Amino acid sequence: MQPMHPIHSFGRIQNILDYALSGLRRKLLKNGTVFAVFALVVFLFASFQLTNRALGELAGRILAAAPDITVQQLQAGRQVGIASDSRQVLQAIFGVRRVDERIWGYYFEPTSGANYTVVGLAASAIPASTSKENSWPGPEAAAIAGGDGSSGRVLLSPGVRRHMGLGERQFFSLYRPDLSLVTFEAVADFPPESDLVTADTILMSLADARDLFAIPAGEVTDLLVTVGNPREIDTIAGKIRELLPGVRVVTRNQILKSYEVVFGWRSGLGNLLLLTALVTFTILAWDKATGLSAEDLREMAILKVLGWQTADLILLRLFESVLVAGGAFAGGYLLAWCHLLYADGLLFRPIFLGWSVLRPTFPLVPSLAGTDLLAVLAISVFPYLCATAVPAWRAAVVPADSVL
Amino acid sequence: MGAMSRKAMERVAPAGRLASRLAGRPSSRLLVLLAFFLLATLFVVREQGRCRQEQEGRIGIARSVVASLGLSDLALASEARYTRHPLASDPLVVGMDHPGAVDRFPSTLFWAPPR
Repeated sequence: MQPMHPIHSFGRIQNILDYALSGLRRKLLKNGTVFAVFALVVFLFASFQLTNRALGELAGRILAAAPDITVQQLQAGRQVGIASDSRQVLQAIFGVRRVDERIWGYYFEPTSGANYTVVGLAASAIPASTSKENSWPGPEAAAIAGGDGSSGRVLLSPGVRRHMGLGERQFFSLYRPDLSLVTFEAVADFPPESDLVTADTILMSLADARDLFAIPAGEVTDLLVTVGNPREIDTIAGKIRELLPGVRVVTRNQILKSYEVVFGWRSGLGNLLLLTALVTFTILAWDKATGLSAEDLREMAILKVLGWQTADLILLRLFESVLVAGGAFAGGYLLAWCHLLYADGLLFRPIFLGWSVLRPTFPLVPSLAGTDLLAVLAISVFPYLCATAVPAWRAAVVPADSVL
Repeated sequence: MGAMSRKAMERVAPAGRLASRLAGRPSSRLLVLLAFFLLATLFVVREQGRCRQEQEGRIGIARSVVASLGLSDLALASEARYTRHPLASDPLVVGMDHPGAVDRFPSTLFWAPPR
């Protein structure tokens, strides 16, 4: 058999493609339904995956600045206050640059059901203001860092200010555990850009936080350890565990790894729910693709009589499947990108924010990752092509005379 | 004028014939559709680049806040302390109400437990 000239070969392929497109158009309702459901499944999977990845990347990049080591005291499996004296023990460890005390906790607002996170830091722990671009703190932080005593001045997130209905007012009151009131002056707001980490935060001095939560003197919530050489973090963490019995030591690496797991798209019920959608689609695709109607067989037989080869018929079916699957995949994936860029991940954002009253505002930016693309291809396009391959072959090899 | 237009027509005719031949074929329409799709993709990718640049500034500020205050968690879900601070709260806090308690907050359903 003579090899076909490339131009003739191209013409042949174009003719088959034309026929495949006309065929798809003839059965517009059937193919349109499969295309729409297919694109929807790809859109849902890709959106969930892109949201996860966007959040995971954000978490990884922002929390890369988390403290080297956080030391907390555990008692009977629960976190309790740690003795301030432990600070001296930690500072004596070779390689530890500084140790900062911190008091933090939650303030529940019963009327609205909102939880504020109150963070109290010693004045010395808050860095001096910087005029560098895209950096914090600005001059506003100096207002609460006036001294180590109780200043009554706080920094709020814009969300907390809105939620409290403060408007332009500066003074507000919170309850101590004994229901006595303590008044604070909101001197400034956190920048809106840091909403992802400060959406519910009220920053005050260590003494004010101690007073608000009625935490006894000589006790803090945790100690933040800064290590001179980042390579020594794990070694120093081990030493801390030996020196302070019953403490939990969280290193920055653990934080980053945990968030990777938290936002790992494979984990969680979301994928399980989407898996149901995928199974439903596979059943639909299988049903549509494998159901060889008498009309299909007749069409194949006529084409064979007209001189089409078996390879041409298989190519025809392949084109039909690739056009539907490829088009739906590309369309669904592009829509998923638009969903994140223009609608801020509207569909899946509530899942990650849960029932929180104070919700951070932050843009989600999709990113292109080969593994994600391959994963969506593997769970959508690949099963569809497999489902259509066998019936395509069966239809192509059927003897024309037996059908006609 | 007549001669000019005939010459012009002669020049245009093959291109026109080709165009009409291409326009009539479904594969040509597919090509046009693909071109539109590529244009849309390019537009969206450009938009993504712009948003990414904007985000860089936000990340810089958020990082310096994290570094200044020693924060360890995202303020993503503040509904419960173990969703607000998955890493800095009690290790056994999920299901803390009683043994085998079903967790009631939706966000934790979609989160893997911290390790």
